Amino acid sequence: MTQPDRGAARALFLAALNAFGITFSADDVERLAVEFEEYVQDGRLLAAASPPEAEPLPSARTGW
Amino acid sequence: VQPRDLNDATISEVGDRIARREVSPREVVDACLARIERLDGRLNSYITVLADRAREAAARAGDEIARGQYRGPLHGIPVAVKDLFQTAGVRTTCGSRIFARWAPEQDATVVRRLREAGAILLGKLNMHEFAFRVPHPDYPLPRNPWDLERSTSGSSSGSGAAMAATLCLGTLGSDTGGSIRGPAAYCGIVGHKPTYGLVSRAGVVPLAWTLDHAGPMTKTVEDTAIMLDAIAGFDPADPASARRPLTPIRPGLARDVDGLRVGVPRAVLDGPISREARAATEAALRVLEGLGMRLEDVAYPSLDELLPAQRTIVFAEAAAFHQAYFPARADDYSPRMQEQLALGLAIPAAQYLQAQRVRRVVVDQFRALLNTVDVLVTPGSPVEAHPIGQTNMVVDGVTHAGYSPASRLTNPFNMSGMPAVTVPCGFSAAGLPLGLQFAGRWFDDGLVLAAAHAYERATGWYRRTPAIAAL
Repeated sequence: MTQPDRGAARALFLAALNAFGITFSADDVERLAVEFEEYVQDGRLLAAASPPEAEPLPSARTGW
Repeated sequence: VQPRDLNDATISEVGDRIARREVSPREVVDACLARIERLDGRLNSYITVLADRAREAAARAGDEIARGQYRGPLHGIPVAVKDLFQTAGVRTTCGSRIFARWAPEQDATVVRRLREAGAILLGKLNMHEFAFRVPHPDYPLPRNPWDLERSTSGSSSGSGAAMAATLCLGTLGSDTGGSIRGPAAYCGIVGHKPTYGLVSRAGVVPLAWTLDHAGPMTKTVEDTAIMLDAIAGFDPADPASARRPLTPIRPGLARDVDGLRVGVPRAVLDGPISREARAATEAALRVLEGLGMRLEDVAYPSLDELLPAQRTIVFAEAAAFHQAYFPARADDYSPRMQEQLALGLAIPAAQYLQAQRVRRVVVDQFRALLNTVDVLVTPGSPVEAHPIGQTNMVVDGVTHAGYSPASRLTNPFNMSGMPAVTVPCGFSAAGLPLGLQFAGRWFDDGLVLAAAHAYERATGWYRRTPAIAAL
């Protein structure tokens, strides 16, 4: 992950904490922001792995 | 019936004796309650024991049977359920402080179906907080009956411990990423995650709607079939429930498995699996060959995208469910649960949808694979039960982040919705159980269980019980 990407992930996480009114200690926020970088990386991976024809599978699909 | 008579008891055996009126439901319930009294102070498998209600229900069952109104193999059988299955008038804590005093008005559909089949609800079983990775400190930690210093795995932790020590004769668990099959492997019992849509989740407090499954955890595959036959079937109260005709599973367990095509995903076996678990799996494959099954090495869907997709869906959906309580009651959650919910709330919507797109790809890949083989076999767990307190999985001396080696084995079938069962397949040098996983086609739970049943009967691992359970 590049440094700008890290910064973007951290900013996204801090914005979510702020938006939802969630508070952690400063140390915990830093640790969780690093953990969240992995999640953002997951998102890039998933976007790359989905072929154009793959519509999202709804959770309530029945009958397979 | 003495408590020791239940040391290695199964639903099928005790059910036969109840049907022949050799024992009464009340005697069996009393024996189970005595076992709980003697053992559960060390195992911590129950959150709530319904002694009086169970005795009353057992007396009623006994009266019905005496009048000739026998309902079937679960009639008079004491069972217990993970404490996220709603039970009318009985608290359903979800292993949490948030729901510590919540008594629902209705039973979950599967609990109602067990009662209708005549089963006696003995109590509610311990679990990770809301089935999400970690226990809440308000609840004592369940301990593995094979070694009290070892984990039961989770999140159906109490179900695994109670079943292994015969503190009831059958249990229900829930499985979002392996929470039925992990405890089954660690505790040396059978755990079945049914096809998505086969068993109702109505009245089951969700972790992640897309991936949640409810299913039996028992001593034997036959007992699992008995419970599954009772709980399976369409339920309009669960939007994911499938409206399809049902074939009873128990009568088909003894079907001929000669010639069954068994897919062995070598890429999975070559991953982070301990030498002991790999050796047990290889030995099991030889047994399957001896039963006439044909082994084929198969390519497997890539886990590089599957596992991140699973993680994204679980975190995002759990955060959505818990928004009613988090962050408003943040302090009532365990510290790690707070963190997980915060991480889930921050996941972008587009990423969640990408994960659901990957799920479609995964389903299509498994569908193609299952055109070439009938069932898939993998280890049930990469290692024997790990020491309590170990937060990263260690496989032959190599430390992995979290429990990712276990997720590699179980998550694929939550993502795909395929049926998957884990059965005992031997023991480590330390005397701890090892598990073997069978998976198969959607709504062909019967074939998956028949293959597992044939293996189980050929090996007899299920007959071993932990020393603590031998009263």
